[in-house]
Amino acid sequence: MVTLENVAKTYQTSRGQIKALENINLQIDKSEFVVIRGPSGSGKTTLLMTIGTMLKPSSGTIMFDDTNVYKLSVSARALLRARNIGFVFQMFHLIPYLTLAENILLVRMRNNSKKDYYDRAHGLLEKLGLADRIFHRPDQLSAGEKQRAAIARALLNGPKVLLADEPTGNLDAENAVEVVKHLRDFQANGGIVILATHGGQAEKSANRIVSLKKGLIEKVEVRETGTKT
Amino acid sequence: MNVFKLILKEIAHRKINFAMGVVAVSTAVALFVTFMTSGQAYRRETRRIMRDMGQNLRIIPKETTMDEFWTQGFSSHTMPEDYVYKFANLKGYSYTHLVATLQQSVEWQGRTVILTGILPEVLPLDKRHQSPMTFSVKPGDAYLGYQVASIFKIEEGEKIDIFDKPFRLKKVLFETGSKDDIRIYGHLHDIQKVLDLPGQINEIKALECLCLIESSDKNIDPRVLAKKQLAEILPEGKVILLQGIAKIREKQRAAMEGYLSFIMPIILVVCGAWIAVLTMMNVRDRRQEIGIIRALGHNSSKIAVLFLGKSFLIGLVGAFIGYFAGTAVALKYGPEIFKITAKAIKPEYSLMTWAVIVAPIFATIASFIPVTIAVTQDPAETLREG
Repeated sequence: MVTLENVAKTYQTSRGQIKALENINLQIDKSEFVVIRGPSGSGKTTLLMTIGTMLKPSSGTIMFDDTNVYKLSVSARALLRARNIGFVFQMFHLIPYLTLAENILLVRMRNNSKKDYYDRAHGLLEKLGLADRIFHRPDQLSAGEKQRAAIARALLNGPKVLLADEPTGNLDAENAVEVVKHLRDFQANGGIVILATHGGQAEKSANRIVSLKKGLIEKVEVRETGTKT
Repeated sequence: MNVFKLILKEIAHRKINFAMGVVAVSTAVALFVTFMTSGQAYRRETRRIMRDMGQNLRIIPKETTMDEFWTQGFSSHTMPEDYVYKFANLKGYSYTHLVATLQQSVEWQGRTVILTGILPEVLPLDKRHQSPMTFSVKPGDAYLGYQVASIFKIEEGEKIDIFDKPFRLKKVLFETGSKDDIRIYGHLHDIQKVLDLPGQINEIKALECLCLIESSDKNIDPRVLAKKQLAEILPEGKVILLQGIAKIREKQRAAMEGYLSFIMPIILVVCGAWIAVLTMMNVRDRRQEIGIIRALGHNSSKIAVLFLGKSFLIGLVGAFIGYFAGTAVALKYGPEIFKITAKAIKPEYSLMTWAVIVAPIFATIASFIPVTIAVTQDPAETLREG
């Protein structure tokens, strides 16, 4: 379970303060698919990064189960992130000089078994239809394949939460559907999906749509169309 | 995937960045190694010169008494002129200038002058392009010392008679405040005729003369060896060795080392700045990569190791390349510069140890600030950039 209480984030710029998030209160349970919707600059990515333990809020608390994540040390937070949170980005962010397998295995924790990871990576790539692309570099993959590879990387550590920032933004409709399908599969297996988007395909899968405007929650819609277990 | 493999993969991907870093380090190391390897040879050469006979050598007639020689400045005896050619053709001697003269003090127009016949300088084969040490007097010409010209009010271009032999005054020399002011210089063969001493000289000067002859007896002083050998070849001559060159060389060496100690820090600063700029460029290129590695749960130390490890490798590869390049340059050109110790110029393996230790540490330190920037940059911001 992820809980946000009175979360605010303010950026200091040369032109003064910018309030990216203000008074955000959310509780997201296991097996929820939450879409964060809003125009550019509404604070969607900031909210995802804050939930993802990458960006400390200016105020408020973020609880991961019973852990106040920003009370943890930087290294403890990194460990919590590695074990519990997966990221999927619009631009895929695969490392260009590594093969697909190497990109995915980048998340391997030092103290875990290498063989287990290889087996898991192979299983994931098969499931995502990338088994024949395992030794290809990102520049040899299509956009859809890159995004599926990014999902495989995000899933390798068996996270509880998947944070997806415009994951279908660079994909055609067919690939977008497939990517959303994989996210729903993750949700169906008990994971939390929090997806930031301008709108579109992903909203159909959401249990909840949180609309952001200028850093504030404008509206929360609860839907029945999402798959909730 | 381990960090080392990740570093190697990144290097293979951004070859130019790595190559430029290696060029910076290897240039600095190569310059250092070249200077040090040749410097060792230079030091050896200076030691050898000081030990052996890096001196001005004078050969005078055997009968000369030294008190007379030092009082008068020349010998009143003579020796055959062909000694100068014999000496020039001797193997095992190196010199920069070789001059034969015949000097006599004579009364000319009621005044004492020193008639000085100069043979055009005999230059070593490999130094034919260099300027002669002294002026060269053509047959029929005369050069007058300042005092002689002043007393007799003779001007350049005038004709003068020296003991019934006509000369044209080519030049009046500047005042020196020495015996040279009362000299009349002519071509050796002209002065020999005037003094009625055909084929005779009374001094050979060999400057910066080095004895390169080897003896089976390593303990024998090369100066003794040289004197002995010259006495056999030039039986009517006597050798005087003058100290001096070695001290000059020692001063040159100190100057060279002073120059090196001035130039090396500049090279190091430039090299360090170059590596820092390259690392900074690398950090900028890899902003999103850093962000994603952080997002995947790796901490700052892993990011730092990625960049510092790369700098370390740049230093290591640069050290090897620089050492071998610097040594190759020293081995190729060193023997031409330091002829005496040419055989002693050899790879200084201790420098490789130093290069391999110091260069990677230096490169790592040089990239410290850009790496600090890399590990402290906000991953959320870099990932947001897309």
